[in-house]
Order: sequence, then C-alpha cells, then structure tokens
Amino acid sequence: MTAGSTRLPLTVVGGYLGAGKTTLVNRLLADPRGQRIAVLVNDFGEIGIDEVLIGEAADDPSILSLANGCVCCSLAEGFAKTLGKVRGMAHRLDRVVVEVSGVGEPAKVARWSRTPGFSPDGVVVVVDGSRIGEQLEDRRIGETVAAQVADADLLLLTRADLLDDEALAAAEAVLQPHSSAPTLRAPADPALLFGLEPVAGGSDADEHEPRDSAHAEHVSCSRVLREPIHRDTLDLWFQVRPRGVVRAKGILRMDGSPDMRSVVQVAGNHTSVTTSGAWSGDEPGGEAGAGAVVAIAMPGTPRAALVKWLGMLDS
Amino acid sequence: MGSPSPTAIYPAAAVHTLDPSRPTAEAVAVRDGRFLAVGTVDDLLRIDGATVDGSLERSVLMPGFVEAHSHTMAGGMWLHTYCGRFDRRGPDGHVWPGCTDLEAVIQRLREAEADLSAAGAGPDEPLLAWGLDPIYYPGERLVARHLDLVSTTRPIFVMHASCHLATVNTALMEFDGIGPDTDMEGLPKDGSGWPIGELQEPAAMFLADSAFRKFWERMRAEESLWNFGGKARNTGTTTLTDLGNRSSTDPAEIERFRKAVDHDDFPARLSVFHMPTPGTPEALEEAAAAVVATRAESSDKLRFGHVKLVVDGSIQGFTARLRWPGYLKGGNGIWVVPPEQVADILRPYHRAGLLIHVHCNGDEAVDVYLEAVEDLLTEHPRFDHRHTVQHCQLTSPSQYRRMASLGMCANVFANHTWFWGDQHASETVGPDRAARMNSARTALDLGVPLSMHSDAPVTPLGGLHVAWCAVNRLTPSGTVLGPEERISVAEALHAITMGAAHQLDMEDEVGSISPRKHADLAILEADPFTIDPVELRDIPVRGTMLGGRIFEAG
Repeated sequence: MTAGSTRLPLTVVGGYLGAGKTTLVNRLLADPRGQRIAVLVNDFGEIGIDEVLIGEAADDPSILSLANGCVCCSLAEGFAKTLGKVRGMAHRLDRVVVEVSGVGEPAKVARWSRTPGFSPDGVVVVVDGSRIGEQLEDRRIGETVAAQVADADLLLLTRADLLDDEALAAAEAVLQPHSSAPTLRAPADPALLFGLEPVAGGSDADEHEPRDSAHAEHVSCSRVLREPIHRDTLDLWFQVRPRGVVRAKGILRMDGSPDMRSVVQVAGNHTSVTTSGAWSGDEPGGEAGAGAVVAIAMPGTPRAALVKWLGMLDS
Repeated sequence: MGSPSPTAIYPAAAVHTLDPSRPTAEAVAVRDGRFLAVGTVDDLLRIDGATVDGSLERSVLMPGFVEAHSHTMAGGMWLHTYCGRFDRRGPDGHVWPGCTDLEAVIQRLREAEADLSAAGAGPDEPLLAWGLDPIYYPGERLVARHLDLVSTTRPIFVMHASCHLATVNTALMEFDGIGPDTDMEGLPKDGSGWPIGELQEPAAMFLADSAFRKFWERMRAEESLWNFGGKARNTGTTTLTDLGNRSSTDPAEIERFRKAVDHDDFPARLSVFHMPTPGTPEALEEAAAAVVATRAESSDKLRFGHVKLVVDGSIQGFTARLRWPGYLKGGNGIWVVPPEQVADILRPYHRAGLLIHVHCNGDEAVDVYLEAVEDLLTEHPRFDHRHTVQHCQLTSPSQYRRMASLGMCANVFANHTWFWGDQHASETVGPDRAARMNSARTALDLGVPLSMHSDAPVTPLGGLHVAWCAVNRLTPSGTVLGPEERISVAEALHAITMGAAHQLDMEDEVGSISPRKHADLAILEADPFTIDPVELRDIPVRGTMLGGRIFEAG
C-alpha cells in the first residue's frame, strides 16, 4: 500500500547488556553525516513517549524512547504507536535506528522493518570482545547471547583496543560457530554499520575514495549502471557476493518497475530490495541510466573481486 | 460530643471473618463504611443507634476477596468479542459459553458481526475478538478462510489468548494491503503464495495496522476500568490490582484511575503497581522518587506506590526460564531483563522502602530474583519488606525455604492447574514437574506467606475458582494433578483474603471482617466452609459490599 512512497531504512542494533550498543548509537548521533536519524531506544529509563521529543525530531536527530520495555516480547502496543508516529514524519527523516534491549531478540525486532513505511537495513549485533567467550558459556545467558549473535547481519566487536591480537582472534573464533556475518572491530565507520549513500555525480566512478581513517582500511568500489536490471540477475548477484562484503547499497532501475527507484541493500548477511518513490532526476543514472551501486568490504578483500561483482549488474 | 453515626447490623446465614480471634459470627455491624463489630444480633443491638438490616440474612458473608495479581486489561478485553475455550462471564453478568470447536468460534463471530451491523457500525469498522487459544483445538487452525464465512467485507481481527498471534480475514488483508507481495516473517502463506490470515508476533500484527492499534487503544477507554470493576463485583472481589503499569507516575494516568475508581459507584479498591523500565542508576533513582511521590495520590480506594518487575516469560508459551532439564521439547525460555541487572533495577525501589513484586514463572527466574533480594537485603537491610515472587509456578522446596528466610512471600498461579494442567503434563514440563507446579502446600509448610491469583485476563478473575483449583487440583481431563500439593479450604480462603492483603501491604485495611477495617464483603449464596470442596467454584456470588455499600452482581 506504500509502494509509491518513501520507505525509511530501519537498522536494528542488538547485543547483550554492556556490549556497547549505546556508545555506538551515541557515536552515530554525534556524527550523523548529514542524515536525519530517529533513534528508538528501549533501555532509556523512565521517560515515556514524549510529544516534545518527537516534535524535535522533525529537525534534529533525536531519540524517541519506547515506553514499553522489551520490544520483542511485550505486547508491543507502545512500539506500534511509536513506529506509527515515526512513519507519520517520514518525510523529515532519512533513517531509523532501533536499539534493542540487552536481552532482546534483534531479528524479531527487525521484522518491524517490513511493515509499511520502512525498509529493512540490517541487524548490527554488538559484542564485547573481552567477554563474549564467557558469555556464550554462561548457563543463564549463553543461549540468549548465542541467539543474538546468530541474528546478526553484521557483528561489531567492541573493547577491541583492550585486546591483543591473540585475544581478538579468539573472540572471532568463538563467534564463528554462531554466525557467518562479517565481524567489524570498533570503532567502525558509522557508514559501514548504518548504510551509505551511492556515489554522487553522473560519471562512471570506479574509484571510491575513502573518507576517513576508519574507512580507509576497508576496500570500496562503486559503479554507475547503464541498463535496467532483471530481478533474477539481482538475486544471483546477492548470492555470489564476495566474502568480506560488509555493505552495499544501490538505487537501481529494475526492468519490472522502471519508473520507481528500487533500493538494494546488502548489510553483511542481509539482502533486500524495496521500492522507494519515483526517480527525482538528479540522481546518478536517474534520468536515462539505471542507477548506481556502491560496496564496501573488509580489509584484505581483493579489490578485483569487488569490481567484478559490481560489474555483474551491468553486463 | 454528637451522637454516633448510624450503625447497620447485617444478620447472615453465616459469617466467616477470617479473623482467628472471632472466626464466625451471627451478624456484622457496619458504621461509617467500616466494620464496627461482629457478634450475635442481640450483642450488636446494644450499640447506641444500631438498627438491623435484613437484606443479607440468607447470604453467607466473607471478607471481600483480594486479587493480588490482575490487570485492568481484564476489563478492557470485554470491549471485544470473547471466543475462548471455557465459559466466561462478562462484566454485565452475561455468561459467554466456551467455544468448544472452531465452528463455535465462527458462530460467535457471526453473532457479533450482526450486532455490530445492527448498531450501525460503518463497513470499515473492524470486528475485534479475543481469547482464542489454539492449544485446545489440536489438528485445527483458524485461518482467513474461516473468518471469511463471517464477513467478506468487514475487517475481522481475532487476538489469540497469548496475544502473540492473531487471525484476520481476507477483507482485513485487502484493507491493509496484505498480500502475496508482503514480505514478512510471521506471515505464513499457502501453496499459491497468499497469506493464510495468521499474523504471528506483534510485528506481523502491525501489518493489520488499524485493527491492531484499535484493539489496544479501545482498552484505554474509561469503560474498560468500569468493566474491571464489574468483574470484581460479580466475583466477590473487593480489592483489585493492576500489576503493573509503566505509566503509573504520569499525572494523566493517575487522573484516569482516579476518575473511575474514586467514583462512589465504582465497586472495588485498586492497587496500581508501577512497572519500572531498565535504565541508568540516575534514571532509576529518579523513577523511584517519582513512584514514592505517587503514594501521596492514594485514597481509600486507590493505591499507588508498589513496584512490579517481569523477569521471564510463561510456561505454556515455552518462554519461562527453567532450571535443568528445561522444557520437554528441549531449550529454555527468555529473559525479559538481563538476569545480572535485576538487583540494579530494583535497588533504588528497595532503598526507597517500596514493596516489590517480581514475575518469575520458571525456577531459574526465581533463583535470579532470590539472589537479587539477598544482595539488596545485605546492602540495605529492611524489616517486613514482603517482597513477593509472582506466579512462582515451579518453585522448589529449597527455594521456598530460602524465601522464608529472606522474609519473602509467594503469590501462586493456582488457576494454571485447571487451565493448562493437562498441557503441562503432556507438552511443557511432563507429568512429574506438572504435579509439583503451583505447590501451595509446600509454600505453607515451609512458612512462606501465601496468596493465589488469576492473573486476569490470562485466566478469569474470581477468588472462588482460584481457591477451588488449589483445594482440588483437578484438570479438565479429570486428573488430580499432584494431590500432595492440595491445601484445605480454610487455607485457600485465607490465601485469597488475608494472604493477598498481606502481600499488598493492606492487611490492616482489608482481608478480614475485623473491627476498624473497611466494610468489604463477598456476599455468597452458599457456605464455602461446609459445601463439598469440589463445588467451591460453583457457589453463586450475590455481589459485594464495599465500604458499607452493597453492590449486586450483574
């Protein structure tokens, strides 16, 4: 019913109590890269859903608190209400980030991003690198933590600066049986975690310059496309993505719906396509072409693999 | 000194005071909304200005029942159509027969649709229903196709008893744009790719946006609280709880309660427990101070200032946290708050001197709560705190012993034996642990102050049913589930009156027919102390007396 309107990308941030979710979200709010972001937090103390806070969100990145505790297991009335309000101000926002409680199930919360007005933009699960080993073994919380890790499209290892290489490798090793998601080490560029915009300008831009140091070690690549894309090609493209791809995003012209912008998202293990309004004309490839796509991969990923992968969309 | 206020003497067929000093009497004397004395009519007539009121002379009088675990939702649900498995009496007294099969559910909805149309509801006004529990219809599944038999034009939304699942009809899916293209986990589809009409978990329910939100919003209506009061009056309950409420420190919420409960015609007292949200220590300190401040908003009928936290899920939903060996089918439940955070969340409330009740269905959740209380009492000792384990369904004897040492109370979910006892034996924990569930006998033997509850609307409000469950431990299949854990009628009736009053910190005001306490009575048509215990739940309730005023059941 909202096929023609803009859908807000919704990213879920999960992870056990103390993993560093709030630090991550605060970092994003401190450096929103010009995006207008609504953050929904449900570990936020006693503040109810406040009209004033929501009103301010019109202009500023703001925090909307959930008055309903754990989103995934409560009756969720409060969450439905809050999301309804966020949806109502979608034209003044660029994205939504939901911080799940420390025992919440991120994938369950991510389901909400498939409701009208939103598009799924990945589940980031934050893991305390110095404690994950014992947490996964803990008889009380082990299953909870393992389930959270299994829900991740992207894993973010925090306290990485406190660990030597051996300990870091050990932390990544204990995660492996539970998840195949790319594991980033904090501090990571928010763009890696919360999505990025395809390249601006109209020229073929095979080179995508790194923006800052955290970004610099990662391998990135972008491409402006010439021909509309068939859905089968895209599904295949999702499947054959090179190991190490952290994020990819494209605004594409699909041959099935050429008049609509199709937004393609890859966030680690997550892939999705949603339509998001009509072409505005000044987007890369918007006028006559077929859109553009950008991808970022883990340090060490062969750049040629990334170039070849993006090239698949234009062959 | 002027002359004393008028005193009414109510002779009765029997009076059970639940006050061991004077356990029975011929009549009750009431003055200024309080019990003045009990005794023989002749004794009481010596009171200056006393007159006899014969209106209760054929009834049996007990202290009004105290429900120490219920939710105001129990009233709000009745704004929707009931389609549960068991007979259930509405706030207006109408008994809705249980829907024994899906055909009965469809018939119930047909009637509701006709009523809605006759009342002039617009074509888009959704038909909202509640209480369906598929656990009772094995092999069958309510889907859109069934609901389309009720209406192909009016949206229909049936919330299941667990509130984790809903079934909707095709008209609703068309209205809300739910179709083959809708990509959502929890939206099962048939072979041809069409959603079958089942919405699993709230995110999928949110696809049915208008109906889903209306389902909850309607329950905020004033009528919802009045329905709750009506349910109390019909069941002999004079003190209710809202356990708990996240908005209880919000002035608008306080006003909403005050407007209904403090009204002279509202037939019950209500204790609203605050439900804290995890947060920073500073935020929690502030929140605790706000809860302390709400105590000043209390009145004779309305009480604020206690605290309720939820630690785990439910056993029948396989979400309660169990110790080894977990569920029959394997796995364990969920934490609603991180276990190591329980003490931190409770600390400011404990230090502020507030009464804390914590929802723990599973025995692992109980361990976590007991550890937290032990830590808090070591840091900040308190006398007579009465911190209570709510539900307490799988609590072991050693846990009960520890609770007794810590000065804690148990509010046991006795109604489970009837409503899910068979399922606990066959599906959740197996016959051995099912027989040990809700072990009221063990709690009493180990010296833990006991109450028992309905958790309405999870099971129907009503102290006599709760007592019947604990005394008989019968299941619908005819099994006596754990006969060793049965308690006596006297013990059960104590639990739903004085036991509950103690846990609500109201034992000086309600719970027994004792001088000075509020004149709150359950007015019964048979004597629970002499009737065959298996008939306890069938005793007709004529109504209640609240603060000296009689409320006839609807």
